[in-house]
Amino acid sequence: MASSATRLTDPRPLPPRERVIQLARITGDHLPLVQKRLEALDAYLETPLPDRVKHLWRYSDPLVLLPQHPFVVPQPGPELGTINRTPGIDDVFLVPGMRPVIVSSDSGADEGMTITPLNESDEGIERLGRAVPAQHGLFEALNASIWSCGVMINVAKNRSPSRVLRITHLASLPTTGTRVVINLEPGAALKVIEVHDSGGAGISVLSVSEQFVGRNAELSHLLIQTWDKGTAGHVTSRAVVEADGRLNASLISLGGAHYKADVGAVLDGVNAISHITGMGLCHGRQAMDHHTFHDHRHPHTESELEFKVALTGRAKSAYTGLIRIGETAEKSEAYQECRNLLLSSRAQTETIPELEILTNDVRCSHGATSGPLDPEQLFYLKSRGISQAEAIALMVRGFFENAIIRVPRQLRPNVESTIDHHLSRGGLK
Amino acid sequence: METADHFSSLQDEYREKYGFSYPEQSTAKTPKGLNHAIVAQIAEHKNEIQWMREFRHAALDTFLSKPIPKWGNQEILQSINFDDIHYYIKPTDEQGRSWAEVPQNIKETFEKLGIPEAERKFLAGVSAQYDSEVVYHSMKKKLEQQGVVFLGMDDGLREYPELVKQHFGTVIPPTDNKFAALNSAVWSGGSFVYVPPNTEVTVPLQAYFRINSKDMGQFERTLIIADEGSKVHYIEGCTAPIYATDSLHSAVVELIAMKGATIRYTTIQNWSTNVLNLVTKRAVAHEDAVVEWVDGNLGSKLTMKYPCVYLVGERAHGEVLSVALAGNGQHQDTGAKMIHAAPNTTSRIISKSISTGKGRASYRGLVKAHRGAVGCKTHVECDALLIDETSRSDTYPTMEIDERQVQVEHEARVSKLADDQLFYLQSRGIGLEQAKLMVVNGFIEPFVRELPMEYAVELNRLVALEMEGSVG
Repeated sequence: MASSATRLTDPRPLPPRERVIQLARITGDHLPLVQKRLEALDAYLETPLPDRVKHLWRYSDPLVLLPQHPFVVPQPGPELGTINRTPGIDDVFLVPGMRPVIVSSDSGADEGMTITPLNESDEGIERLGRAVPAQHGLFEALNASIWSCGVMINVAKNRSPSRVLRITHLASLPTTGTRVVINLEPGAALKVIEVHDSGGAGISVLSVSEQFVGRNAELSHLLIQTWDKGTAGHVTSRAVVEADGRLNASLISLGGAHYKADVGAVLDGVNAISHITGMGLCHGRQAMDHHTFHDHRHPHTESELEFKVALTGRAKSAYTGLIRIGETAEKSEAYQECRNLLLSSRAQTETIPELEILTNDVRCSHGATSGPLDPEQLFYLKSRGISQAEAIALMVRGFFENAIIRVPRQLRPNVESTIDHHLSRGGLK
Repeated sequence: METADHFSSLQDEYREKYGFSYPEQSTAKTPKGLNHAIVAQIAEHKNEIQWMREFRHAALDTFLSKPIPKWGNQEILQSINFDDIHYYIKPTDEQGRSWAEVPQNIKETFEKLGIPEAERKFLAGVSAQYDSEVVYHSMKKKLEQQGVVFLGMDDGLREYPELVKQHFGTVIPPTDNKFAALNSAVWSGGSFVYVPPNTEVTVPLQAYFRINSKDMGQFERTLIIADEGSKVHYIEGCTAPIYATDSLHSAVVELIAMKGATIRYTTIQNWSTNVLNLVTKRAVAHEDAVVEWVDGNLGSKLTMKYPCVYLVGERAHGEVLSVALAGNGQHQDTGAKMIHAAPNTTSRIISKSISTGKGRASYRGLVKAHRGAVGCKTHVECDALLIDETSRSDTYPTMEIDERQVQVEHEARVSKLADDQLFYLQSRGIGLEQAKLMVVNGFIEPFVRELPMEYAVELNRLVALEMEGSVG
């Protein structure tokens, strides 16, 4: 180990191997999981820092996102206070260094959904890393070796729980490493929301979520990031969608200081479908960097992606999106759209929508635009007696409408008020 | 005529036309490899003035210190052996002053290249490059009267040292990238054009380039300055005979369009499929200037070329219209860059690519709007056509927007030959191969119609050749 550690000359934090073993002992990991952690640690040591020359990292500094001391073994914090149940929602709280807190009605199990701490689930450990292996990248490798709170969700064959599942990642430690595995058995359906919340200056989040959508299953997955000011973090989310399966994913990015998200789906069977809708609202000096990936591996697969970002102040947004249609994915269709709305003259956006098409019998297109609010629409609203500020807020909300309507009904008021809060923080309301 | 026969006769004609080479008759050739001694030798051969010698040596240091780009086709880029290349070959000692004085064997080469009789008559001037030196150069009297300078780059440096010194390397400094540094160190040949203020050059200026020595590199350098309110169209065409080992072609082309000037630069690149064509082309457009790159890429094993316009003056306009044809084993990695650095500048990029067999066409582009460049508008359109199951198309556009009051649009489409169109044509009694060719020709028509007629004819023929064998 020492030899491979000394080989590295970059300023990344280096781990003592014992710490990882110590961590595994505290969380009570079984041997296969300890092995996975150590393998991931090796991958972390072998993976060079992301190359800033390459476009995926041109706009974000990996050292800003990496936790400073990722190998400090987390000490269990105080118990969570009283948790209010929200009707129609099952809650899971992921707090680093603690066992996940599951607030579920009994009907969850009745409806075919099981929620298990990830390190206690053999199936979860077995699936861990199948959609996002440690080799995916530096952050994923580090997460796989040091995550300290995770959950495994399973929905049984042909079952579709009526309740919405909410998983809240609480960024409470300087290194918040969380991990989620979701498995939908064939024909199952689930609505799940992952919320990344809390945080603050000096807190770094490393999170990985893997979703397995079985044959003919349907997953609605919403990823909301509402970190407090100053938080930095990297979130990776991948779905593997089997034949006739369907993923409806949405992304809502609002908080934090530096955020990088890598979201995507592998269309791993005939007729698999993925629709991703995303929105980002950045203000002040926030920097957001989103990457999406649609990987078509089988014939007749379909993907659609719509991504919108609005910026004020000196905010920066980078978006890179890749559609790859492999040699064996004939008759596939893919569409990608990215729109940037610039609300201040000091905001900056970078957009790189990419296509890699390796076979001919496909339909694929993408579009991207950047620009200010349409002055004519603004004029129209003002002519109806609406103030400038209110008119802008209305138009920005309209711009995000497609992403917001994807939020499950039970949570929409909550999400809308969060967006309003961020609009007002950005001076837009 | 049977289409198959039509194709095979075209193929024969092509071999006859391009697939040949005469024995080398170089009278001066530097040894393989690159170091300061070689660079000194090249400068000595040309008896160059001191500042250019210093420029070359500094550029060589830059070249040696820069890594190979980490993006693009790594397999090919990393395999370049810079020590296995002759960096300078001089074919004849004397520069031909008229067509009659050009050595016979070189003339024969041009004969086979098929510079049409009609074209010769109408040509304003021909700067025909054989190996690394301009061997033949003629200029019509009218151009001289207008005060238009159209010379080989070496002559330009000798005759207009101050003008060259003022502009050379200002648009593309040697530090720009490894291959621009390489060219700056060992450049030879290319054209130097200066158009005086308010002068319109009514006929296109043309230059032919040709590689004719095994394992040699060609590093021409072109600088075009269009002074205020002037207008010029420059055409560069490339053909190369077929060789077994790789050749490296790394040109640098700098265009400067002063206030209100218009430059159009047309290229049809048809290097043989063993050539690596790694070219840096960039223009600066001042106030109200217009720069248009019309860029056709048909040949080479790998082309990396992204013509660029820096829009530095208000209301400047930049345009790139390009076609890439990637046949079996070819990788056309081409695109365009538009840098909006002044208010109310506009740009348009239209890129069309066709991949056949195992060909790969990549669009790689950049649109950047600097802060303060209010009122910019830019529109990018990429269309890719995939002919075979094994064909590949990539799109890698980048948009960097640092200003609110801009309008940026990008769209790209990838598709195969439309079955309904083929079916329609076939139902009219047209054979499948002919129908495919018609659809492809329709696809690139917006590009072809911007070309001078003889180029358009040649392009259509080359597309037909490339499409041959794509018919199952």
